[in-house]
Amino acid sequence: MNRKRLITIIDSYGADAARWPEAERAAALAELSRQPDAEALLAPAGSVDAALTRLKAETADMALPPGFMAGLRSVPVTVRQRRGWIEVPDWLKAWPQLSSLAAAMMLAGFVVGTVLPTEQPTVEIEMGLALYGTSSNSEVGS
Amino acid sequence: MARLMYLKGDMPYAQGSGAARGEEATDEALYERVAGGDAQAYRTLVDRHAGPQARYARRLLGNADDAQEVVQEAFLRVWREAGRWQAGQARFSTWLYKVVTNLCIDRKRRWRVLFTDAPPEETDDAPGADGQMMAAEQAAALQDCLQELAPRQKTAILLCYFEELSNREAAEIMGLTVEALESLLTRGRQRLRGLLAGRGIDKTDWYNESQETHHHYR
Repeated sequence: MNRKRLITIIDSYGADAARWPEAERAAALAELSRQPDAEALLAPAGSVDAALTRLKAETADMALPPGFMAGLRSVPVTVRQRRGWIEVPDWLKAWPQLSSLAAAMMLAGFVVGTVLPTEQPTVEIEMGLALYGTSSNSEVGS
Repeated sequence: MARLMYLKGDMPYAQGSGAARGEEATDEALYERVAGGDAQAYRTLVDRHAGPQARYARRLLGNADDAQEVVQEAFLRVWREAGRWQAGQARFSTWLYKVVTNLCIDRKRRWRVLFTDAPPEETDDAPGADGQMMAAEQAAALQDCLQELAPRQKTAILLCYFEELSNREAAEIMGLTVEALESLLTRGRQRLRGLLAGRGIDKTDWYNESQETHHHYR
């Protein structure tokens, strides 16, 4: 520790020794006590410290909007829904048996539709589309 | 509440269970469970870190809405990238700070917010009759000054002063040596002092307040 290093510490971390690097704090305080202009070394840093302390207090409370935390917590659900080959509409999710049946019908409809030489969708595909409906996946945070 | 079904054979997670186990576990232990698909462990991490990270991002971006979007993206990555987590490599909190910091920096670049070392513009705020700004005006001026710092200077100050991280941890988050971090801190603090003076904030007040702080260490 020397004067040059002490000045670097003060310029970097401020006048409050509690914020100085722990490993160097004791040596820096000892070096500070040997400086005849210690007050002058600390004053500029102290003024910035006071401003930062004030600003920290002013921005300490951040009110999060309703549903923000709930949205974050639901991320695993949202991601799993998006990974599914077949997205199940919300109204169908409470009916496990129908969900599986709907998935099977949609897959069958797709297979039939691709095999039969027709320009019109097959009945099976139409049924699958009707059951599929509109995706209602919620975005994270909504 | 309707139970949610997963057609790809995902195991439905247990809602509301394991809270006691989650509260006692370290972040790293929880994240290892998240890698195994433990949604409750994930939610414990959300409860611990989302609020502080939102506050940090807000200070870094200067905008609450942007900060919330950053945190949402960060925790989406927390869930998706859990499988790549290597125990013992880094602290979870350090990694999360790094993710949030980089997302904030990317957002700033995307919106082309420029920070220069040019002198601050003259403001229209005129001091009151007694030469002192009102407290609310001073607070707003302080926030403006912080937002005028160069992004890396501001990040260094936020991590060390506001988040109270050690210099080593802050340097790791920013991908710097401690010496480089200290250089950013020094330049950022010097710049801040100049901005405060340029805003007409009474330097005497700040100095007198600071005396009360560092007298404890004389």
